[in-house]
Amino acid sequence: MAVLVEDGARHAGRDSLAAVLRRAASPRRVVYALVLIILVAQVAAPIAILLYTSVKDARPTDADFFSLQFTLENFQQAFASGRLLQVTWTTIQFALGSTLVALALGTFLAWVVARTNAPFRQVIGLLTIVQMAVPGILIPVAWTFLASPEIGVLNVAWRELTGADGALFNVYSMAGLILVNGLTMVPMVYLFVVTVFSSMNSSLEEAAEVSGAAKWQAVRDISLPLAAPGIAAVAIMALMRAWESFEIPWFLGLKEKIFTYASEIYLRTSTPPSDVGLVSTYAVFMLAGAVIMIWWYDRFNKAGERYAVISGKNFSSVRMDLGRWRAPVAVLTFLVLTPVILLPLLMLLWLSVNPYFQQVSWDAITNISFDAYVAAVQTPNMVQGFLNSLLVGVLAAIGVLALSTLAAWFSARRLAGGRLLYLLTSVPMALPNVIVGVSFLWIFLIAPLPIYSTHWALVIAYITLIIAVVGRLINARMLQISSELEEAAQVAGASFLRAIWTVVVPLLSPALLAGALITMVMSFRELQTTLYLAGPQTRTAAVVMFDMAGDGQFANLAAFGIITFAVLLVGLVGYNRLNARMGLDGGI
Amino acid sequence: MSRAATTLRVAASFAAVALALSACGGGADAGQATALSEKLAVQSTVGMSDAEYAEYMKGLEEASKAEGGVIKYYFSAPAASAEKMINLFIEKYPWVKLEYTSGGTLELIERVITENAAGRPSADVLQGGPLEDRTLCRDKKLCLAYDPRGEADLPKDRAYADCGCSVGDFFTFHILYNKNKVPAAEAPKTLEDLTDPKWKGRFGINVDQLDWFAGVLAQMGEEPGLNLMKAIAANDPVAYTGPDGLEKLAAGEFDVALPQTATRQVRDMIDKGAPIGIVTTPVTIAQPDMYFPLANAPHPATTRLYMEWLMSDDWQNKVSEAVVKIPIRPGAPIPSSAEGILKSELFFETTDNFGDYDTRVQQHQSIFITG
Repeated sequence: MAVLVEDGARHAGRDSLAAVLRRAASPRRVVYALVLIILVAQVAAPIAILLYTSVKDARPTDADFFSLQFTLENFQQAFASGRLLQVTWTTIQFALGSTLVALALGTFLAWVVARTNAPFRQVIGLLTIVQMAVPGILIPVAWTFLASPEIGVLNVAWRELTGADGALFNVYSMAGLILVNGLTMVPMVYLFVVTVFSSMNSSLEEAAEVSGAAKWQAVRDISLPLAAPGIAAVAIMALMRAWESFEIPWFLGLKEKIFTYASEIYLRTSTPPSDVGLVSTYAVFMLAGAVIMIWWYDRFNKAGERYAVISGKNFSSVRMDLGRWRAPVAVLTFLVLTPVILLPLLMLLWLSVNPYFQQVSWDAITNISFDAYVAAVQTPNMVQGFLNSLLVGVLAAIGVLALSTLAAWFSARRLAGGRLLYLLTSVPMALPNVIVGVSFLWIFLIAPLPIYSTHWALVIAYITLIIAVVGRLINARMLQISSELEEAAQVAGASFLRAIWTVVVPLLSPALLAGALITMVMSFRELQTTLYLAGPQTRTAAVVMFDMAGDGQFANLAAFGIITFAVLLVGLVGYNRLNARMGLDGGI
Repeated sequence: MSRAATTLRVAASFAAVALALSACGGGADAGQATALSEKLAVQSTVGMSDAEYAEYMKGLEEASKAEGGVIKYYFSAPAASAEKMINLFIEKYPWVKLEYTSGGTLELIERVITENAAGRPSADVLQGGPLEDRTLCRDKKLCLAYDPRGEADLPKDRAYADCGCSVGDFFTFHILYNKNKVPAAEAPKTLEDLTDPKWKGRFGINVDQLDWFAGVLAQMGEEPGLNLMKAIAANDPVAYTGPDGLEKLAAGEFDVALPQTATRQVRDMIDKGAPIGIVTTPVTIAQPDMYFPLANAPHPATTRLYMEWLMSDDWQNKVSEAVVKIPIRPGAPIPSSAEGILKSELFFETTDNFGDYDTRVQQHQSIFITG
């Protein structure tokens, strides 16, 4: 096994300086150094600002910010409301509950698509993914009109059908918040797990069945344990995302006064200028939680090679034959997809053809109008916002994928320094978007860099925001790729970079494609950080939608959501067809 | 190898698209302030004679063209309204180009403070309210002291002499009700009506409107105001947030909603048939739209031109039609949705009567949000 850091001092006395420099500048070391430098700039800077501001009562633009006077006042203030413990307990329930919902449904959908011969698999996969196209701001709105006890169409229909007085489902309850938040995270879980399942060697399951195990036992004892690194990685990500989730607990939880960590931070820091010290203090607790989970995950993956199912040995990818269970599984899958995407999509469609929300009735149906679609397309800056999101998304995807792949390789091969890269790509999961926004605002304005308000400002910030998610995805896939493949390439004369490019990257392609998709979607949806960094020419789709929502143009916003959904769907179908025509199995 | 080649092609295509788009996009960095001649760098045009004013405006127009005719506008108001407004300004001064930055109050204040602290000011004009006045003008001294001529003949309560801003228009807070669920005669007429047990749990309270809360306390006095708010909160209102509150009211999520402004969104929904009725209370809280010219504006001539236009008849007579708000100048047309104010006593919120911001936030949250 190769060792990254060699003992240069041992040779120094004997070798010439040129030889030492040549060794020090080996491609692997240069690449490592570059990745490290970029990650330190991308990740360590905002984290350093976070930690530093949490013990300061001055802001970075204040004269005494760099003085050596520190305070614990922010920590005292965080506990001062007396609500922190209660809010933390609520958040634990909310985060764990929604993570479990997302894991159960996302893993099930991924298993159906990647490991079985259930019908409509491609449709199921596409419908799961395109849910991510629904603008974040519309999700609580759609669910309010679906499942509010008073006006939600599901509850109104339930009352009319059964004559009952109460509600079938209360979206404002803790169960409601958990379900809606869990449903929004299903596509992320699906993308993680489907890439893991798709690389699974079915000969192992077949061997289990030949040995007398039932199908479900093969799934339980072979498929799920082999997918464990991917599932563990996505569980951590989902937990952190749920912990940070703001829109759903704030917009839906307010009625029943259910406050989570994110809504508490919002309440406690709503006075401008931003109380970054207090926000940072709250984030320090999250950072601690993230570090513990990363440590656990790292231990979990210590025996990384155990999960290497892609190796030089025969690879068989035969799907499990569901036999007489094909139809029931398909029905069950569409039942799962109903709340994941079909119901919110139908509600968006309904909102988009009505001037304001009305209950579904014949009168309302006869008065539907498509004006909102015309208005959405004609909204000033919509095209510009769309193109800006596309550009920033593409550039951020290139950066995120390159950094994640190299960091995952150094980490998965357990080379010296690899764990540092792993840590640097993991900890941003604990960074609140507002901290990333404010930190980069300060960095870009105080440093003599001409990138404030440019696309590059957004690209850099987005890489920091997204790298934890995509990095875990790629890392989980990398663990499945045996090192013997690239070692064989190097033995055959390939250089380090060539071995990565020709062997590792193609085998990573499902994870890379999923990562690119996640980055693109997040670049269309990210708002909090963007509001600090976007300039007049770099307003993204999310900012334009924020303006539309501020104007109360929900029909137009819903129409825009439907259009985005349709564009993404067409793009994904086209992409999958192209893959199939080229004989590749990297489709989504 | 074919996989590698395909991956390479995909990556190359991505990079090509990115570079092509990059060439089309192009972001703008913070600008540097252009120096204004001493003749134009006045603090007020209120005392100028007609001839002096005409000459001053001519000079401003030339200087505006010379500095590039750009106005960098920061606002947290609804985008459509802000754009309509600036487009009317551009109709009058066609060489002007608008570059706007939108966001929440918190982000915009943060940006202006940080940009100025870093010596890279970017905003010419910021639209906001008492909070921006306190933070940017009074605490950080970032606002330009400038009184446009149109402020000369305003009544005292509308002049906002102590503000680092000009108030071009205002909006008012009302009680709205669902006409399908509440007959007009039975709708609550005052805030006190909502303490009646018959409204228990039937009305929504919009927790985004801290300004209304501060305005009521200022108008009634601290203690009576707080007592009223606590009595309203004791009647179990449904706390709601976000701009979909009107949709919920129209759909019947609650029978009554307050405080709601009677601006464009309300008028448009009523025009489209939403069953919404408007009640104007005997005393109505009026929130000013404050426009802050910034001291380090990169385009000082266009900034002054804008402030003059804001207070001129050109804008004052179009406020109602363009943005469905109420012009600050008495006698100018007002929107139909706000006609109730003609029979009501207006109480104008100011930076001073708002009170301490942190205290108001804490009071408001503890009464209506955290309970």
